[in-house]
Formats: sequence, C-alpha cells, structure tokens
Amino acid sequence: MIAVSRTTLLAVAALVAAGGACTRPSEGRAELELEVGAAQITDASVRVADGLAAVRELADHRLELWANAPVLDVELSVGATAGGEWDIVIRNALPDAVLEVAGATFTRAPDQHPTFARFTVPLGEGLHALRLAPPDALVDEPYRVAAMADIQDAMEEVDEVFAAISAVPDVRFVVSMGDITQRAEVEEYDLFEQQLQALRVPFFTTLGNHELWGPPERYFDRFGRASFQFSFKGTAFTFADSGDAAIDPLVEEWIEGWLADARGQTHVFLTHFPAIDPVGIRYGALRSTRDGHRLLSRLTEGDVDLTLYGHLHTLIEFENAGIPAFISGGGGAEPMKLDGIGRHFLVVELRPTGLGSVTVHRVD
Amino acid sequence: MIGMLAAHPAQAERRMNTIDPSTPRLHCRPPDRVEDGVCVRTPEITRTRRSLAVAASVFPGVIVRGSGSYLVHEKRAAKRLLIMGGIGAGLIVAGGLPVGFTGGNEYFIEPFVPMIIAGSGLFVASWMSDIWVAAGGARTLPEPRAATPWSVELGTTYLRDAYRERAFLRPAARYVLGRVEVGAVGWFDLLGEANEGMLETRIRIIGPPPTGERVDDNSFLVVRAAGRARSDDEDRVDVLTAEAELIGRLDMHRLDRALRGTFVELSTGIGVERASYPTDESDAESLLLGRAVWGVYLRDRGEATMFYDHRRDHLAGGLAAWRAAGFVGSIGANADVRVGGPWAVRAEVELGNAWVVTAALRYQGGAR
Repeated sequence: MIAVSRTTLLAVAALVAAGGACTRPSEGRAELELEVGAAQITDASVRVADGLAAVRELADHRLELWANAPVLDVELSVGATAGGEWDIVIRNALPDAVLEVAGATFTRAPDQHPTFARFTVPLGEGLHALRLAPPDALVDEPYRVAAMADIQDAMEEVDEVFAAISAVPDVRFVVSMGDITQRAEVEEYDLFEQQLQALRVPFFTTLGNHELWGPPERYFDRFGRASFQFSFKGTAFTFADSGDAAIDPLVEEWIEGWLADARGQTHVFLTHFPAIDPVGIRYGALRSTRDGHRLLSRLTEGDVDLTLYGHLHTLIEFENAGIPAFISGGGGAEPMKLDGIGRHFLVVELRPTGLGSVTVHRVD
Repeated sequence: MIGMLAAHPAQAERRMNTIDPSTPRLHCRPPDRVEDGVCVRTPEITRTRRSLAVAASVFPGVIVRGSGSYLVHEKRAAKRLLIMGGIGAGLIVAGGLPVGFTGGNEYFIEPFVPMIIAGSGLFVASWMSDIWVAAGGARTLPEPRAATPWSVELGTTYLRDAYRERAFLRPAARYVLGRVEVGAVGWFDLLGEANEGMLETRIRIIGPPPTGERVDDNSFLVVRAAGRARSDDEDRVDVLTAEAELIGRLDMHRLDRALRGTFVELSTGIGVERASYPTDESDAESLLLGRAVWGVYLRDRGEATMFYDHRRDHLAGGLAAWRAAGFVGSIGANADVRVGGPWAVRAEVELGNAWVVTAALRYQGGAR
C-alpha cells in the first residue's frame, strides 16, 4: 500500500513538474525571436533594428536579408580586412525602396524582380548605418495594403492569388496572418518563394500553427520574426505569434510596449488565431477564452483600429472589444464549405487619421 | 445513454431505489454475483491469466474493445464493450465527417461536435471499463450512494498558466428540495486579483432521490442551468455567463453485471457570455458545453473519475495540443471520498491551457 502511494505520489509530482513546463509551450520560440536579425563573422557583424529582417547570409563582402518590413535600419560593422565594395541583397523589399548609407543614396541594380533589391556599396572599416526605405516612407498619407492568410496545401496555385493582388493598383505590400505552408517543409518554403515571383510587392507575415509542424528556426531563418511591429506612413502594424493558439507572456510584454509606441497612429493588429471566435461554439480561437479576453482588453485600451486574423478558412467581418475585425483565411487552403466564400484577400485602406475602407477581393 | 434511461423511467426509478436494509444481504463476494437470490460462482482467474487480460485490455484492447473482459470469461461484457466502443467510434466518425468536410462551418457545429464528444466519451469509457473488468475491479465491492440532501464545502483551487499563478478560496454549498437542487460556488483569489461566482440549479428528471444512502443504481439525468460572474483585475475584463446543460450518467452494470462499479457520464449544453472591457466596450459570445466522464465507485465511500471538458472559458481552458491546438478542451481526474461520518474530501486535477488543482473538505448533511 505504501509502495503504491509512493509510486502515485512520484507520478503526480512528475506530472505536475511536466505541467509546469508545458504551461508556456511557446516561451522558447519567443526567446528565439530575439536572435533574429543579427549575425557575425570574423571581420563583420550585422544587426537589423527590431529584428525586422532575417539575415540570410553574411559573408565576405556580402550581406543578404529577407525584409519583413517596408523600412529597415541596419547596422553593419566592417572590420579592417572587410572594407571595400559590398554586395548587399535585400529580398522582399518595396519596389521603390532605395538604400541610404551616410547620406548617400544607392539605387538598386536594374532588371530584377520588383521586390529584389541589390546594391553595390563601398564600405570602409567602421560602423555603418544603412537604411532601406522608399522615398515617401515618412510622409503620412493614405495608402493601401492587401491582407491574406492560410495558403497551406494550395501552394501550387497561390500564384493566382498573388497575381490578383498584383493587379490591384496602389497596393504597397501584403500583410499575412500566417499558415503559409501545410507542413513547414523546406520544399514548401522554397516553392513559396518561387510563387512570390507572381507578387510585385513584398509579403510581410507572421506564422500560423502549420508553420509549427517544423522547427520554428526554419521559419525564423528564412522570414524573420513572427512577433514584430513596424510603422509606415502613419500606420503601425503589429504582428503577434499565436501559432499554438496562445500568446506567450513575453510576446504580450512586447505587444504592450508596441501598443504604447503606436499611440496616435492608425494601428493594425494581426495574428493567426482569432482572440475569440465570433461563432463562439466553434472555438476556432485562442485555446483559452480568458486569454482571448485578456488580449482584447489590451488591444482596445491601446486604441487598435483593426484586428486581422486567419486560421478559419472563410471570411467573417465582426467587431471584438469594439475593434473592427476580419477573419480572412482565403489563401487557398481547403476552404470552408457552404459559406460561399472561397479564395479571397482583403484590400485595406489606411489613413493617418484612422482606418479607411476594407474591401474583399475574390480570386475565383 | 439518455435513451436507455428515458425508455423506462418508472422502471429506472424503481431500480434506483435505495437497497432495503431489511433485506438480508447475501454473502457473495465478487467476482461471484447474486442472481435471483443465488450466488453464482464465476470461474477462478489465475494471476497469470488476469495479468494477461489486463495487458490484452490495454493492447489490443485500445483497438478491439472487450479483449480483457473476454480473457476473464466475461464474454457478454466483452461483446457489449465492443459494441459500445463501436458506437463511440461511429459517433466520432458521424460527427467528425460533417465538421471536417465543411471546415467547421458554423451550421455544422451543433449537433456534430457534441456527437464527437459523446462518441469519444463512449470510446474511452469502453476501454477503461474493459481494463477495469480485466483487472477484477468488481472485487472492490463498489456500492454507490445517492447524493445527500445538502452539503457545504470549503476548498482551495490552485491555478497556474502562462499568465497567472493564483490560489483561490473556494466555498461551495448545495441544497436539494424534491427534484430541484440549488448550489453556489465561489472562487476568491487570495491576492484579490480575480473573483468568480456561480449559482446553479439542477432538476432531476431521472435518478435516485438524495438520501445519502446506498443505491443499487446511481444513474441519473438532470437539467442544469447556471449563471456565472467573473471579474479579473489583471486581465482587465468582467464576464457574465448564462448556461444550460443536460447531464446524464449511466451506471455500466446496466450494460452487463460485470461492469458493476463503473459509470459513464455525458453532458451537452450551450451558454452565452458577455465580456466587458475597461473602454466600456463589450462582446457577446456563445459557448458550447460538453463533457465526457468515466468513473468508478470507491466501495460506498465515493467515486473517482477521469474526464474531458470541451469548454474554454473556465479556469483550465483548452490543451496546447500541438497540431490540434485550439480544437480541444481540457482533461482531468477527480476523486470524491467520504472519509468518516458526514465528512468527505474532494481532489481534482485538470489540465488545459492551465493546471488547475482543487482540494476541498465537505460536510454532507441530511443523510438518512
């Protein structure tokens, strides 16, 4: 009897210990994000402000980044043996973005895809501040972006969605609420980048639960952080990793800071899982309704103007905590049946004074 | 299950009547059993055979229900557990196909998700019951007792999740008048950051009256209605909830006498919720309630259960279920044991988005 009790107690203790560890399954993933945007070799190092780009390569006289924001501020430290002409490649850049280094403006190499920016920049020994931005980056004025999510197993045909977005005039970039792959395989990411050739503007995204079918490093190394914020022309975009149907407290801490930073700007918040499913009985949302309410209380206090979600392969327009909200999972993943929706994307008009219109564009 | 209970309510009521204390109790130790006043001997099960049966009930029992029961010569129980598991699997498929095919279209959540929950409950319960039979669980002399007419309880609930680590004081009370039971539960955070209260009413449609005495059958069918209020300073939200639920328990000896001592409990319901934020904004939401429980009676002292709870608005929330994250609720285990006279203790562990551990001491009054 005593032996059984001890065994039981040990089992319960082990269970509780394991449980203590699994109440924050995304903690390690959030901490990994802090490493995004920095790299070092023997005689050079690079750091992208706020981790807004993934460093794909830092080598002898060569730097390659994947931008996850329309404006990048990069610190490149060049050692004594690394001085000279640098080949700087920035993928997923705005078509009109130029590179400024120490007051000099560098234009990109011609005859490339609009989102592929290659610059040849002479850099001597020392610390250099590089800024990639379009000329109107600091002009607060209305503009439009496209929003979409949930490509998953429709990767083969997603070029049709990208072509449809490219056909909409004046869309500056695409924001995505995640689930770009089905299984987070390397081949899927490769194909995704190939398909992006059909898109003439950059694609800024967070991750979804399907990106977690593979190791998160695979995503971070290619596309950068899943939780980040950038501001562009008077509008702030805050992306949050909710890939396992929860938001880690570390990410919440960042969100609270970003909400404060974006005060006075138009503010769009994007994450994969809806905070609360408007069809409550479906529970297609964060796995704790209490955590959903907690997030919404912070967003509404932070004067967020629009919340964009994915995960459900349909289109729902609603309000949460008084904030206009859309669930838009029309990237092509197995669509919800009998809802008459199908593949689609949103075009969101943003004004420095607040949210403009949100229109639905159907692909099929 | 509800159908079984509802088919012959009068008969069900009679069968659930308390055991007449004037009836001399036959000395007939399980696995032997009384049939028509005669003690029917069952074949001796050797230790080796029982070990094999337990192993078989685990595998291939996880797939072929009744494997363990069959090996301990409970062939009828084995067959019925196989059927029960098949019905469970059938409900999972019948509910899962429309939900999966439509991609979670809102018009296919009800009744199909409750079907999945009920099917999963039967599927797991048939497995657990097979292990119980194979292990000779009936030898523990399970004898359920009806609930007492009233009780008061004082306990504590510990909550740990990604955001919160809280200890609640948890008082509770219930009182039964005829077929109507009223109850109240409170969760008061010892640091004052969150408080929650619930008032509920249960109407007993079928089931033994609350005498606190031993009963032959503790199966029941009740309708439950409840209101909750929650205020959370740290989350910065106030929530009001109203919910209604149908709860049914079936003592499994109704399926086969070898299953005596086990029961399955299923419930389904809906709720509405209003969340109010500090900016004076509010949201109205709907809730789907669903619970599947398998349990055993601990002699006549209480019961132990394991359960799945589909709701996400409670302390536990939903499991971080890797690829299924967001789609599943919480799981847990509970033991409710009378420790002496009218005193009972309750312990519960629930795992979802949070770990929730409850321990309580209860005074059960009014027993005959």
